[in-house]
Amino acid sequence: MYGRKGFKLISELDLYSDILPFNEALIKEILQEMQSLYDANVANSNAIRNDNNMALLPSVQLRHIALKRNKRCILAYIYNRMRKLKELRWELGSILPPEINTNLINAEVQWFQSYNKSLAKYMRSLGEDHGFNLTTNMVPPKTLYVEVKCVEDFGKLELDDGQVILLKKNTYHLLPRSVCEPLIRQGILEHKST
Amino acid sequence: MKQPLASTQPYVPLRLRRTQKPYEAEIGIEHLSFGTLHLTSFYTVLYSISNHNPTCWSSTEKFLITNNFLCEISNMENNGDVQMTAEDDVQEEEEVTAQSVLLAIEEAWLNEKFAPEILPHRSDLVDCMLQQITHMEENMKRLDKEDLRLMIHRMELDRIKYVITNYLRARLEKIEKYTIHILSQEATRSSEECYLTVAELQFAKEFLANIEMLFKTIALQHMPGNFQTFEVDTLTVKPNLQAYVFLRANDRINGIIVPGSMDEEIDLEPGSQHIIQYSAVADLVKSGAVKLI
Repeated sequence: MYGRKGFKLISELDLYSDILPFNEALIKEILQEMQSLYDANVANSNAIRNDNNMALLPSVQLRHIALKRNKRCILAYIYNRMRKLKELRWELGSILPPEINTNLINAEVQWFQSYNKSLAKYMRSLGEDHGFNLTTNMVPPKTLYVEVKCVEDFGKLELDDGQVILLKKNTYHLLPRSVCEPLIRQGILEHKST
Repeated sequence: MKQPLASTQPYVPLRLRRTQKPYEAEIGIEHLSFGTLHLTSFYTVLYSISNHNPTCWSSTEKFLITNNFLCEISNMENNGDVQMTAEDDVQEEEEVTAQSVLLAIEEAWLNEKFAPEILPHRSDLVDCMLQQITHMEENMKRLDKEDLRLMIHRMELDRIKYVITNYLRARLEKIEKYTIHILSQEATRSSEECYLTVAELQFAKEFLANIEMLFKTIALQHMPGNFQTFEVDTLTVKPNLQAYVFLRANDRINGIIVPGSMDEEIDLEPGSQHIIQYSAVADLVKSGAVKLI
């Protein structure tokens, strides 16, 4: 049945919240389906025009709708992957972890880089000289310091006032919120709420 | 208590000159002591806040109130300056205190947060506040580390930063979501009444170009015949202007027509609160006659 593969593509998006490997094979199949539908339509519409065979009109319309639906499914698939990618940019910063990078295709990696570039350009334009980072201060600040647990070995971390601390696995620290916010999002620190 | 702390006051009032360059701010640094008088009023403010029973406030409200409270502190410290500038009261020069800018930006932030569509930008406020932040940070470096004020000011600074980043982020999110719609609307506006700043406009254009590029390279160029086009019309996402919003009226407004209800007209009293369709009050939000809450 026409359009079933497109639906499969969308349900794949819906079922998993992570970015899966780009389903190139399925997209290729859908594109093939579109091509055959299109060819059939061209042949039929020629027949309509030349022989005035109106009986073919409904099937042309049906195929046209199936074509449009397929296109919509593919674009939705690409768009939603892009949206997830965009969320990752805000969460993890400009460098993607390798396990996600392997699931992307070239065009998506390129998109990510250009998105990075325009976002960085925008953030630089704020403020007077060195710009203003919009990816910090994601949650309303309640306290200046937060208690965090270190989940991974991270090494030395320099605070704003020049103090250097060592982040080792399973140690507890009381750190300024602004410093550990990115580290918490990257999963190196864990927020201990008391 | 130690010596009277005669150090630099981190909260700097600034003046905007409306005549020549619109947003060139003059920053003056003043020296004030944080004496007993200030501490007394500090506790008065603290007490008067606790009277309002904070437990029933939502977190945003609490946040705003503490923020205003901090403003009050800095305002108390600014008193000397206010009197001083009253003397050289030149007509073209408009006195804008950091507090009034902060209040204005908070209102802009809440409006942007709750309005379904993008609102005219307030980059004047953002620039002003960012300048202020840099100055406060400079001044705070000079404070003693054990100083009580350092903690308060740093907390205040974090809150202000959060408001600004959240405001700008909310705008970016809208731009990314409604890119095509916003760009087409923006094209009809003249450069003075643009809703986006120059940088935002550029970001929007680049974002759209990137999406188009992505769609084309992966899928569109492999599609048959006339399905290859990037159909701007079908891909447009429009904000839902029929969404309902909470608002509080700043001024008295007569004759708002409530859509869909036999053209019923209502009047808003100053300070009254309403739930209404956004499309009915969109212009009022933009003009500042009502604020979204």
